[in-house]
Amino acid sequence: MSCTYVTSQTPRVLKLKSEVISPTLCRVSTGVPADHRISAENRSLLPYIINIDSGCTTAKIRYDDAAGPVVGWKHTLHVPPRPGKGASPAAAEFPLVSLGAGRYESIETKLSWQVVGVPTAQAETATIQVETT
Amino acid sequence: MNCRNLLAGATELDGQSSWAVQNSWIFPLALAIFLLLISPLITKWTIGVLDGQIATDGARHGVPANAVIYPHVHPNRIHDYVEWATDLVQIVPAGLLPIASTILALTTKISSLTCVLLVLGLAITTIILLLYVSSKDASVYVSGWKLCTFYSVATSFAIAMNVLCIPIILYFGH
Repeated sequence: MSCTYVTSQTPRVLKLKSEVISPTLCRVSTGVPADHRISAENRSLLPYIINIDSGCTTAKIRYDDAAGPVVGWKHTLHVPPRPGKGASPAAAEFPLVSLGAGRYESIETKLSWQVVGVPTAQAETATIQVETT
Repeated sequence: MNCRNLLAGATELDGQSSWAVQNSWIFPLALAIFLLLISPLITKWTIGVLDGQIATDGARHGVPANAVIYPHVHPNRIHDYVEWATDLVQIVPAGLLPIASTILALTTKISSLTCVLLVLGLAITTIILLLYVSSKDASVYVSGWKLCTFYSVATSFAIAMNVLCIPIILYFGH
């Protein structure tokens, strides 16, 4: 079980990470705040647009929307070009909620990336698993 | 009269034994350090010249101003390629020339075995650095560690090699 996924098909200048942030590693518990976080590190001088299309594929894990638990989450992340040195970071996160006990609860996230101004985009699917209590 | 004699004549005007002549082997190293210190500026200038050439070439080929430029050949990406390639080609001379200079300077003062060990050690270090830099993506390398936020791994290595060889010559040269 892994609650962190780092893309392997992105350009070497761009690293995308999908992970669950919670007080207990890889566990989402009722009443305990937890987030699904997508972070990007850009080492190129080109700005990127990252489209996040994420969905819970099992029954006991959901995104915690204001209106109640939802299956999916979509977001567009703008990653600026790097400064003179180091990487340019950007991140987006959405809270998660547990709907009961589950051992291998899964979240599948389609991450697509494109350079600003370039019409073509590439994508990779990141799957992470958590335990819910 | 050769350059060494010229230097000797210029520095022995007062009839004293010249420190400069005795240690003349360190001057090429000092010059190399100076050139390495200004090398980032030369690279920036080269990038500027290259930008101008790309713009002129694009105009002469009738490339429209709003043409899509793909990321791998985008001018910003080319800037990183230039910086990376410049470093890659200078690693071998940067690693081996200072030690060659040191061995020539100390040719009668150090044993053959020491020479061989020095060259072998530096050659292996240089090859490792060459493989490391060549394995890196250009942008990842350029945005990586820099000495004083200015000097890349290869340039820092070259400066360090030259700086290290100066005290070796000064110490063993007498």
